[in-house]
Amino acid sequence: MSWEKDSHHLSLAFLSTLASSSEAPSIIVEILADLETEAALTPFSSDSANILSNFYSIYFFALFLCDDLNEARFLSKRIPAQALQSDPLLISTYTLLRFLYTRNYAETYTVFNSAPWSEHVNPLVVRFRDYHRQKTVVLLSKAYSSISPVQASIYLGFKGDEPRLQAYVAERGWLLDESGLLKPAPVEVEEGGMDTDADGNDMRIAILSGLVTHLTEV
Amino acid sequence: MDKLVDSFLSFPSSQNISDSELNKQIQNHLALLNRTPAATLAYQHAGGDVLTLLDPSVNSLAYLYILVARIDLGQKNTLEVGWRQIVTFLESFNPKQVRCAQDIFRRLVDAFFSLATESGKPIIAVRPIKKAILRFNPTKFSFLHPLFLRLCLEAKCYRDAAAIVDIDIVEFPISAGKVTENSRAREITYQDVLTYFLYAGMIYMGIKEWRRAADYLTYAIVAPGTACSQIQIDAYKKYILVGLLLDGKSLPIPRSTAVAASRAYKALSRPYESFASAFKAGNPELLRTEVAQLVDVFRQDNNTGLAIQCLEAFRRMQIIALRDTYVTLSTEEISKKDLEVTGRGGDIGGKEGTEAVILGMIEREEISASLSHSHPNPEQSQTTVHFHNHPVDESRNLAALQVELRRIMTLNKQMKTINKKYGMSREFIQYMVKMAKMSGNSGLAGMAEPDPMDFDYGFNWPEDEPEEAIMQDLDDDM
Repeated sequence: MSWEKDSHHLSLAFLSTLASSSEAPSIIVEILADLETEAALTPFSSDSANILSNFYSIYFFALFLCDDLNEARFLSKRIPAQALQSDPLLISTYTLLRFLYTRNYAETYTVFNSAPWSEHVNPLVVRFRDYHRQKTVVLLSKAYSSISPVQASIYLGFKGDEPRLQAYVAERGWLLDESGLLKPAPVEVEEGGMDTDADGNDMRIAILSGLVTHLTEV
Repeated sequence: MDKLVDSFLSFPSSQNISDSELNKQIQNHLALLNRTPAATLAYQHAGGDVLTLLDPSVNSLAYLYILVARIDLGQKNTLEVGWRQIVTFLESFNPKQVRCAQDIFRRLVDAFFSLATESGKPIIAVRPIKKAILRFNPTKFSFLHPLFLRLCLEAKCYRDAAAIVDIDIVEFPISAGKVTENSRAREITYQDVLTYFLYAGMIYMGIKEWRRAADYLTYAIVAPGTACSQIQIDAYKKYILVGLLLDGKSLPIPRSTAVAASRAYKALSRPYESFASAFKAGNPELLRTEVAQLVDVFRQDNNTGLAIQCLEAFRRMQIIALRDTYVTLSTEEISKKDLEVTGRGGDIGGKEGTEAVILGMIEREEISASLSHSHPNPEQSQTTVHFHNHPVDESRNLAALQVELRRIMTLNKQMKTINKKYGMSREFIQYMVKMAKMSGNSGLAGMAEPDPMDFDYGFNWPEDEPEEAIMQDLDDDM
């Protein structure tokens, strides 16, 4: 097919800037989704493999950061299967998706730390690894009343590095009891839903007054 | 041709003219476009493309006609070269203008849709058509809706689809008997609406939002009619499985379902019903036997994925049910209950697997429980699950309530607008007048009592008033 080619935005320079920006993940996803048409029309070849694999890998990480593993899974079905199985960067990203999806914490960190991430993707990899660890530690505080340090270091990616684990959880108020088990500190109420700052109050008053007006109209 | 281009560019005369003036200009402009032969429209100068001179967001009609003329004459080849122009058009057209040339617009979209699906890359049409839907009024059903969802399902683009199906449709176009200037616009059919509901349900299944999925499937299931459509049967089968994922039991057939449809559902979904009762019985052995018999049925109906998710959900729901009997229980004992029915083997049925499943449940807030290890050494450690009685976080409920309230408020506002719009429509008032005459009343005294609508009725329109003039005003969106 003779498609017009215009790689104005779908360029490594642009992707690199995007991946290292501190833009909200959902915005990055929107931008990438617009570029996906372009990517879908570019056949995988030795010329295009580099840019396409970086594009898709960045796209995956942006979705991971949005907690949208579903869409990441669908994205993996939109990419030509052959590329997904032959390109090293895409293989790693896809493997990571599989481990995240099946909640295999131990292997997740192995992939983070050992996969051949390109310089373009790397900022997002680091951003997501920190985010993932942060999310996991919150989950563990919620789910465990006591947890063995060995298990905790697997969940948090500090396997075989007990001092780092201890430092990481101590920062969050976890205690090591006399039997050698970690006692997670309760999670502080998250900002957002029930916050008490002025903005939140204004917001709630606005919602409430809207509701009252609404009820008087009905 | 140059003269033609000039007249294209001179429409609309200015950006800020009144709606009625714009409508007049649109009609004149359409008349010009309709009498210009396709060959002239499609003609390409050696010097440059006419389309580059036009601004799709201002000269939308001319842009649209030229694109369609080129597709008509040049067929597929043009599409391949011109797809980018189609994309630009769909992302920036002026909805007020395009609304007046719906049949031409539909030809463009249909051609673009076929191009995308036939080339095996449905993804290329997803974003442009999504943006086109949002340019019109997305709460009003249009032919774009089912077509878009089909594209999304084929392309596996659920995120974009969810953005559209999240917008509740509150209005369906009245298309019966409406005649446009040159031809009868292809109407929205019963099937279009049913498929839209089914597809929307499938989108929500893809993103595992079972509540919304069940809602959309319900719309398809209760669609009125004297016969039952295959689309409805498909929706019903999925509805049973979604019910299991949502509540652990099959949802009842809604009461307002048509009799014929209800009968057909019962007759044609027996295997699903027996699957649901095995699921509900909570006996893993029974469920395994049942699944073994139904593998082919699920495969034929393309419901295998959904059925597998039901099996995964079975274990989770049984674990939740343990809460009623136990306060604490070790993961080892839970895994001994042999609740793993997906048959995947490996260690997912073991105690580590069970612990992982429960951790996931706590994360998704399906269960309120906490885990504790008994020993620092994993070899000797036992994991105990403590089931909590207190319900899931209060603040979450409050947030959910707020979302619902806001949704209801929006719906109520939309309903009022529609009520007013249709209350003032010619058809409704004529009907009311007819009813009043039939009951021997001269006025509107016999009008439905609880709804004293708060506006003036101007129901003395002359019968010979051209339909167009009125429909134009009322048909303010797609």
